[in-house]
Amino acid sequence: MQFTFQRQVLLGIVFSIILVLVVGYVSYNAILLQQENTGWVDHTREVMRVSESVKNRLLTTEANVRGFAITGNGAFETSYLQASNEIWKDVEALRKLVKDNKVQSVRVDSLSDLLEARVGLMRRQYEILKAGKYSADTIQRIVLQGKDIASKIEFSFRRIENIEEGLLVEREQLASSSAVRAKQYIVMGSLLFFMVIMLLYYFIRKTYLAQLASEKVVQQANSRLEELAREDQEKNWILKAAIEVSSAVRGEPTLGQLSERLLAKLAVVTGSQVSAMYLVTRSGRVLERSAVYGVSDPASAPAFVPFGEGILGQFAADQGDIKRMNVAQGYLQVKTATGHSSPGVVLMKNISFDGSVAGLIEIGYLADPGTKVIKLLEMVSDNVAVAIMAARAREMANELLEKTQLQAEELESQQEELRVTNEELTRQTSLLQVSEEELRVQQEELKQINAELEEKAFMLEEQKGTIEEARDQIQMKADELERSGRFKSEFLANMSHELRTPLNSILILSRILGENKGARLNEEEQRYASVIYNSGNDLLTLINDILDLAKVEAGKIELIYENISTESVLSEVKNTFQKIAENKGLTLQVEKSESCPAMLFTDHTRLLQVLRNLISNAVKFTSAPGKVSLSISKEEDQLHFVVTDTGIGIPFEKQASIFEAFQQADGSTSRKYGGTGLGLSISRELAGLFKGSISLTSVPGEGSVFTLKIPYLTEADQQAAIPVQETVAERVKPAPPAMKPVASENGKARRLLLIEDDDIFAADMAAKAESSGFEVQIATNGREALEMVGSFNPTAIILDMHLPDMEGEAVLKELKNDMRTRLIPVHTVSAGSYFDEEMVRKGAIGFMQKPVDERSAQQMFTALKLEGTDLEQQRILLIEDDAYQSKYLGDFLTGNNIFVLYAYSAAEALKILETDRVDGIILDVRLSDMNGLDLLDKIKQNPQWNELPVVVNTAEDLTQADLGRVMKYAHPVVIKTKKSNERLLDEVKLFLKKIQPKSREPEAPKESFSNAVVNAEQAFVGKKLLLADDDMRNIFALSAVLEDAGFSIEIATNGKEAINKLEDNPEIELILMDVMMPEMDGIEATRRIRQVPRWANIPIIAVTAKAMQGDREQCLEAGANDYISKPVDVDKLLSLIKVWLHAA
Amino acid sequence: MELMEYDDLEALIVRIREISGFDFSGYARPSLLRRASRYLTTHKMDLPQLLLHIEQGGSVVYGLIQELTVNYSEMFRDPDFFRKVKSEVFTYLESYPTLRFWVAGCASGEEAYSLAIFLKEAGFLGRSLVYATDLSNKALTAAREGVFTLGNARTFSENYLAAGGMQSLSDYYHVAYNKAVMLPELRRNIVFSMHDLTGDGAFNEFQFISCRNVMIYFTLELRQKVFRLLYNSLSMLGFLCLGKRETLRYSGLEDHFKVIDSTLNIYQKIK
Ligand SMILES: C[S@@+](CC[C@H](N)C(=O)[O-])C[C@H]1O[C@@H](n2cnc3c(N)ncnc32)[C@H](O)[C@@H]1O
Repeated sequence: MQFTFQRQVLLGIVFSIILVLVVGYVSYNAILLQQENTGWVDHTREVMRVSESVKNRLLTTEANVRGFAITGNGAFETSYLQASNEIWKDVEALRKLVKDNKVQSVRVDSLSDLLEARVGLMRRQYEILKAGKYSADTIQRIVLQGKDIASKIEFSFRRIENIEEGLLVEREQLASSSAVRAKQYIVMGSLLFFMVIMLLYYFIRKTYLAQLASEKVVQQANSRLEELAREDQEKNWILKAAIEVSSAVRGEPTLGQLSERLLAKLAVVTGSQVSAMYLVTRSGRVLERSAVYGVSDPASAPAFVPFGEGILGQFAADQGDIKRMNVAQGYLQVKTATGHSSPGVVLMKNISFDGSVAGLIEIGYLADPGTKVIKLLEMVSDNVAVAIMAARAREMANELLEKTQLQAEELESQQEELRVTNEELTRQTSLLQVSEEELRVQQEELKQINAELEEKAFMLEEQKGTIEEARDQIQMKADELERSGRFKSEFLANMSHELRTPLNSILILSRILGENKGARLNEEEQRYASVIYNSGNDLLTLINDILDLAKVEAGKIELIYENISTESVLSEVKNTFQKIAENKGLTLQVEKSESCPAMLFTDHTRLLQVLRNLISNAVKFTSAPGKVSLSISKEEDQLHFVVTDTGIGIPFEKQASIFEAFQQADGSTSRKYGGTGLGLSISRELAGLFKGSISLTSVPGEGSVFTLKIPYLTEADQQAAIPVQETVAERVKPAPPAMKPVASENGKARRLLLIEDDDIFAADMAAKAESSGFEVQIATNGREALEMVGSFNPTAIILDMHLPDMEGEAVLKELKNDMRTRLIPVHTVSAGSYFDEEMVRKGAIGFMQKPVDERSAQQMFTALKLEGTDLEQQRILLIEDDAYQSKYLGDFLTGNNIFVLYAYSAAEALKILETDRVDGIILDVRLSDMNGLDLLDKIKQNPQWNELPVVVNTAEDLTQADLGRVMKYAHPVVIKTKKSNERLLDEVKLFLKKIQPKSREPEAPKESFSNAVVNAEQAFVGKKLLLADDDMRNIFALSAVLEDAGFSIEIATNGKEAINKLEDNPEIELILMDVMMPEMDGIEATRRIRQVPRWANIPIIAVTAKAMQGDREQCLEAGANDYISKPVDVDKLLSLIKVWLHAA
Repeated sequence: MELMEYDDLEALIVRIREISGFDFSGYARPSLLRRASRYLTTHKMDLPQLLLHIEQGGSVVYGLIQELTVNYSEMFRDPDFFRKVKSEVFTYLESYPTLRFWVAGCASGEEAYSLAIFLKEAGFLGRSLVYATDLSNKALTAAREGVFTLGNARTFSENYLAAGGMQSLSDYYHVAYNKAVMLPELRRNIVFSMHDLTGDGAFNEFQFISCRNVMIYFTLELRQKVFRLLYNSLSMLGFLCLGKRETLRYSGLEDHFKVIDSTLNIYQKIK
């Protein structure tokens, strides 16, 4: 049972009061008792005192009586009377005093009786005495009686006193005991009271203390409560914030969105200044920045942080939970419009999922944000982790989905495509079915036909027999023909012989005639005779030569080796030519070197024939004063016969061809210098027979050196060789190889344009030409001829030098100057005697004087045909210094029906270009005598050649600069690789094809360069313009037009180059900027240019292939002034340029 | 699919053309329809909303254009094509001192990188320049980064080897953050640029053009137009590669080309 404190106290107090009352009462009682007891003691003492006084009075009375008795004095008497009265008073007092005590009262009564008795006695005595009458005996007896009574009184007294004394002791005892008791009571009471008070005090104190304690507890409880309230608040805040944060990451954000939202929310909720969020990449172990918030330079937060690297990385690697750092000034920058500061606290929180780190948040605060933020972070981290994982999963799913969808889309499209194809197929199948039906019908028909055919076959079988017979016959005929071929050769040989016989008579007779011994001929006739003689002579040589050549070519000449002395060879030569040379005013020198053996083992006749040929040529082409020499020497195992002259020499490009049949330095030579032109061919063939060769070095105008080299043999060597010779040796039946070109008619169209105003001659020639296989058209004047050349496209031209409207020379010149016609062989004819060399120099292949007989005509046609074959073949000049390469490539091209002219050096190339017709050039960059590119420049600078297509062939990579030089001419460059010949051929064919359609289209940009405004004024002359473009075609086209308009052009092929060029050429006034360029595109370049103050105003015109509106904006935004799209309309461009140049 | 009808599609095409200038009218309708419907579903809108969006301008229309096209690509896609290019075309191109390649419709650049890798192996990447263009800026951005998900690396590697690659594809990228990052030296010779085959003109002259898996989405007429553009962008003797699924048939330019491979549709311009 618990008393309240109040009750307790009340109880205590009540108890105390009761106690006080009790103790008071008891003490009071005790005191009362004590007082009573003391009163009783006093009473007793009173009693005793009264009894004493009674005694005393009695005594006094007695004493007075005695005194009276003795003295008889009256004073005694009064005292006596008084005392005896007083005794009674006292006895009465005594009586009263012991009235309560019966015993005592009784005693007092007895006493009083005794006293009375005594007093009575004394009175009697007194009276006796008074009366004086007293007898001693009466007095004695009265005294004795008195004495007796006195002892009795004494005794009574004694008793009373004893009792009283007993009483006193008793009462005193009682009083003291009651005093003690009272004291005891008081002490006890006090003690009790004290105890109660103490108890009370204890209780109160206890209560008070308890109160105090409880107060403290309460206080504590209060503060605890407050704290709880605060915590509650914080929890609420955290919860609220957590909800907000969680809601920020809810939904289906991407990882980036999620991170951004999260950071933004955290900033709002926690008041962070900067923050960054990193996510672990899919591969793990690397954090990738997914968002930053408030960071002034986002780049300062690294995009990637591998685990374990830096604080972040380490933190993530350690899988720490949260980390708080106070950071130094400038650790992270917080920037606002008004200033910046550094946060003081950085929190890092790992976001874990399934026990591994999924991401990390770093938050910076200017001031300590308190623990609630940490708690918040802890609280939301799971949610965030889940959201991240979800977003990631979503992302992956999306990616996969996207991919599959794309694939599906592709598939669908392809299927569609297939469906279309399928439909097409179905359609075609049905078509096929139709045609199948038709086929079936046809098959039926065929079956019938077959049957018929079988019949026919049977018949044919029969015929076959006949045919076979016929074939046998044909075979026989063929054999015959073959024989007749041989016969032809034989015939030719015989013919020559047959010819020679009458010719000889003609020669002889004409000489006789010419000698005019009878002087019967006039001068004119005499000259005719000498002409006959000379022509006959020529003819004879020709016949001999043809014969020889035929023999040699047919391999039907047998060398007959014998021992001859060198000296005899020399003297023979000398004998033959000494005179002729002298006649011509030449020195002839014949010598042998020391190395030369005295005896030669060789075919005497053939050797001499070769030497004669060479020397006669030398003499022929050397005019006085000059020198011709023959020297024989032996070098190693070879004999060298060197024929040197100081004649007109042979141009390089002809050197190879002079050994060909019917070719000499030029076609005309034979006519000037006589001879058939077969001599060298024969010589070469013979040299071949000797297993030797003839080589030539010559400088035009200075002379030529022919060297015959044949192996030095002795008789012993020859023994071994002879059997071979014998098998070869057959009956000599020479074939006529010279006829071959004429005979080998191949289906090619030959068109002859006859430019001739003489109708009769023209008709005659036309007939001859037609019979010779030409299709002929006739032009009667120069103009008409030149027009017809374009339309008729002749393969050969015969040109009369006298035309009504213009000189033949002019026509020739025009023909030769036109690239399209310069290849057509032109033969000139004239009634007058033209100096034909002149004509030839001007490009004619020959000259013939009218009238032209059948033979000359044929000759002419042959020559024209020969040249014409060249015409049909494309002529490529191959400039290549490596002989092997040259041959390899040349053969390849030749194999592809291209005529190849070989040049092994730049000088040779130039010579060929000057003298020969070339359709295109293959140029090796590395040449022995000149840089190929310099040569290219040289060729291009020559207006005659600058249109020649060139393919640059090079073994090594060209430098950028070199490439630029080539590209300037837009020629293809072919790097030599294993398969590059293929491309080389393609390129060559390509340009050859381009050449063929003779109607050249005028170049497009040139044609469109018709802007009147621009043309009218020379506004652009000297202005410099930068053309930045990567498209070569565009560069060519534009730079051509712009240069025509007077600009000087700088070219850049990418944005960087453009800027560099601009830097190097401050005089550039305008820029044409292509948008699509490598390295740096036009937009970027424009932007950069605009950043430079001094270029801020230079006009830039963007050039782009793009058509979308957006692009235009982009260009202008970057700083371009205007915009033009590809393909560029030149007029528009020029107007634009003009506008901007004037605006600037 | 039921989101849109062909008529709606036509209306959309017209709107797109009016707003952006880009013309989808030459695209095969079924594919376009599918893509457009997909756009609507993924962006959770219907056609009127989309039209409204476009109307309001901004980049919506460009985003739409990019999503109407299909940007799927692979490294060394159709390995036999690359094999052939290497054996037939590269040997020829080798002799050029400078080379320009055009990958038209390059999507996210895989084809261009593949080409660059083979050029590098053939030894003339240094003198080559690969222009890789596409309509989609988004795809181009990815292409410029040259970053591909590793998930595909396996297929890519297999393709590469099947195409006759001489090393390992992984020699050409390094792995960073679960991505394959193509070597920068490959990137150096590739120019990525925006170009619309249907509207933009020729911008350069190329020795080699690859336009694969692009024209299957075009109608026949548009194909002819694009063929003309490709033809005009080819240098003489240059190569045109259309890949397995497209041919020069019906292009009207058949006789301007020599067939190098008829199944892989590799052609050489000869006139
Ligand atoms: C399927 S991808 C082909 C990618 C790559 N050529 C290949 O075969 O792997 C087709 C690409 O063509 C692009 N494209 C579609 N229309 C285009 C256009 N008119 N002009 C340029 N590119 C276009 C698309 O953006 C897409 O990236």
